[in-house]
Amino acid sequence: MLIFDNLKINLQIIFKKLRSKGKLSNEDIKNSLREIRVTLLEADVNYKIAKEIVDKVAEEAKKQNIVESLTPAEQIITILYNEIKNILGDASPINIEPNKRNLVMLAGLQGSGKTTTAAKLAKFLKEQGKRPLLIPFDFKRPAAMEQLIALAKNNNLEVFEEMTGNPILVLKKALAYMENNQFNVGLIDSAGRKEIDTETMEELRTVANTFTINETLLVLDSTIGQGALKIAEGFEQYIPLTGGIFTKYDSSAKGGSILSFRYVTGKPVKFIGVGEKIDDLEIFHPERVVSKIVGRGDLATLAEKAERTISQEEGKDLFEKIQNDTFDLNDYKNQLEAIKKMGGFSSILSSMPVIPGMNLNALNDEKMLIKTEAVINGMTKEEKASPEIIDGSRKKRIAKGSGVTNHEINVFLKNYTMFKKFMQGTKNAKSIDQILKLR
Amino acid sequence: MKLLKTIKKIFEKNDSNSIENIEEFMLENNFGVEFAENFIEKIREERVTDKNIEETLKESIKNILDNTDPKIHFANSIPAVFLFVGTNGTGKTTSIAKLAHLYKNQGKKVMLVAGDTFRAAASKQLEIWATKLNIPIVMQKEGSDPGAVVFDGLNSAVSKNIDILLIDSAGRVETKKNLLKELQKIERVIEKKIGRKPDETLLVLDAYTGQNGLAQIEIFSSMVNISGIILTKIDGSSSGGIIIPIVQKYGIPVKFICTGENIEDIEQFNTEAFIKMLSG
Repeated sequence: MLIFDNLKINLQIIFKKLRSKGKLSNEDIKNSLREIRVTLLEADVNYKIAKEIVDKVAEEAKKQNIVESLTPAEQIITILYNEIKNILGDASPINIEPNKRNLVMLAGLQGSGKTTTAAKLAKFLKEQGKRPLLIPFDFKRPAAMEQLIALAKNNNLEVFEEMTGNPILVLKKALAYMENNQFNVGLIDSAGRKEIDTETMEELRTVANTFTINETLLVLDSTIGQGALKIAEGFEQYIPLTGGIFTKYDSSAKGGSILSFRYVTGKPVKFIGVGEKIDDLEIFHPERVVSKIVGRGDLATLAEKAERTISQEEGKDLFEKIQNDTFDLNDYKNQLEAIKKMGGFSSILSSMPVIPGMNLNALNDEKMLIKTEAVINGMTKEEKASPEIIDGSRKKRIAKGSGVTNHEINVFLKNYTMFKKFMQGTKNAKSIDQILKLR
Repeated sequence: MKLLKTIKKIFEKNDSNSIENIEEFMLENNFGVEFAENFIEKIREERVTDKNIEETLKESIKNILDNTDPKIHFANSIPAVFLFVGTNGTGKTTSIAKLAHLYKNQGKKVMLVAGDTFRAAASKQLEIWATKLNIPIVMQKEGSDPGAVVFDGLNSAVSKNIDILLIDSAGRVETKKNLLKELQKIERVIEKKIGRKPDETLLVLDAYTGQNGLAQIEIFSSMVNISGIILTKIDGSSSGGIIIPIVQKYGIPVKFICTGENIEDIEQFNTEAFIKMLSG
């Protein structure tokens, strides 16, 4: 779930080690570079790219005379941040031209998630006011077409259902259908294929050469290891890729394959798939990935997600409460409920910065959430408004009334305090961007 | 996949970076840093020469893989029940079709259970295979409780004297605890019906998988009784090297490998054959 998060934690450990030692020797720098390399490799960053990043960090560290620095860890993190960011490039929106017929083709290996992604993308474009038509183009996998048709039907999307005959002919028919029915984006869900399978790759090339395609997106699974580099190279050889989509970003894979894709193609990653539901497609923001790498959490994603779930009014209200220091247990309860609405803690955790001292795992447990609600319901009005008055005897009463132990009440109160502190920590920043910005 | 040969060549060149290059080759095949570092330490300690470097690496891999038993487990009574689990898109449904074909050709009575009631048209995909292979299938409509489908399948298999029951399940990433709990429920349904856990609970792993493969094994096997791995999509560009650190760390055997898109492209795992394939 936490892409790059282990990398972040590992780096924090490395630099904590360094930090506690005071002044550094060249040997220290070498060791930390070595550990950065190992961490990058464990995150599935291709070994060639890992080497290049480490070399550049070393070079820059020397230039900046890190050995003499009072804050070597911060400095190295900043250098690393910049190097990774250079590879990731800038965010780039999907290229759909207005008042024109657009074609988007999804390509990739078997099982990378093309069909599911096609449906998600259609939903995304529809919500933007486009008129997308899903075009099943996988004549090989049993029930691939049925899958796309079912996804379309279940989610109120349009799909082209005529699919017999020669593939090129089918596409021509689909284009005519788009013309006659005022669809402005055709989403082609091509069959899975291996980049070394010349026959099926040639077929894909023919399609790319026959039609004018705005976006040819390579769909890659985030769990792919070192091979991502060759896969991207292989596809690039046959078809002019314009971008990538990374699926299963909600797995625990660290997603180093994203760097491989960028490195080989130089093309932007446009979307990430973050779950099994039709709405689980997010615009890819490189800064957020880098922020995670260097331990700055992914506040922007979180804010965006919250925006979709919590109404603006509620958000404004919350913001004011944080500003005015009146964020009480009632608000905390509302927040937990909102978090539940947003798909539970596990989906949010991947976007959260580490909140020091807060036991997130306890909250990740569905039971714990229910208990937390029970505890809050067991409190008096005064206790909810000013939790600091909750003393030993009050704790005992609440514990008895809500069926939890005294210890659980303590954990709960501590979590609330930490959550509040964290929210306040963000209040001085004028915008999310500022929170994310480096010193 | 001329990995071992390439490594050997690098070694023969004998430039000062050769050890680093060897490490990189192991990394490229997703052997993982730990394995690579241990191997390098070993060749340094044992003063391995150019001549026996290939043998040393082969032997290291062989030792790890031979430490587990790839034999397929069948109980004394029928039906033998195999449950297929894994993350999305690794090839569970296709692997089931291949195994069904394999066992049917051995004269066994095989039946399929469409336990993936979540993914659109997943049951349909399995049904198409069942029709092609002319074997029975138990399925319900999309969105039904997978436990109920499995229960139906078990009943049907018992009454029809089926030898091998192959149960599909929906793909799930290892971070979704609720979905993993659903697998535990399926396991319980099976245990209740046949008085034992599935004879094989096979985790289907994509040969392209990187270090996340370790997390997949760790978390799935903490929830259900994973008895083996099916390694899919092996070919010239995907070596499946991740199984080496997996087997080393978790001692879970690889039982089958899938090497192509045709129905007969599945074989029982064999260490020698696997190493031979790596050698190119």
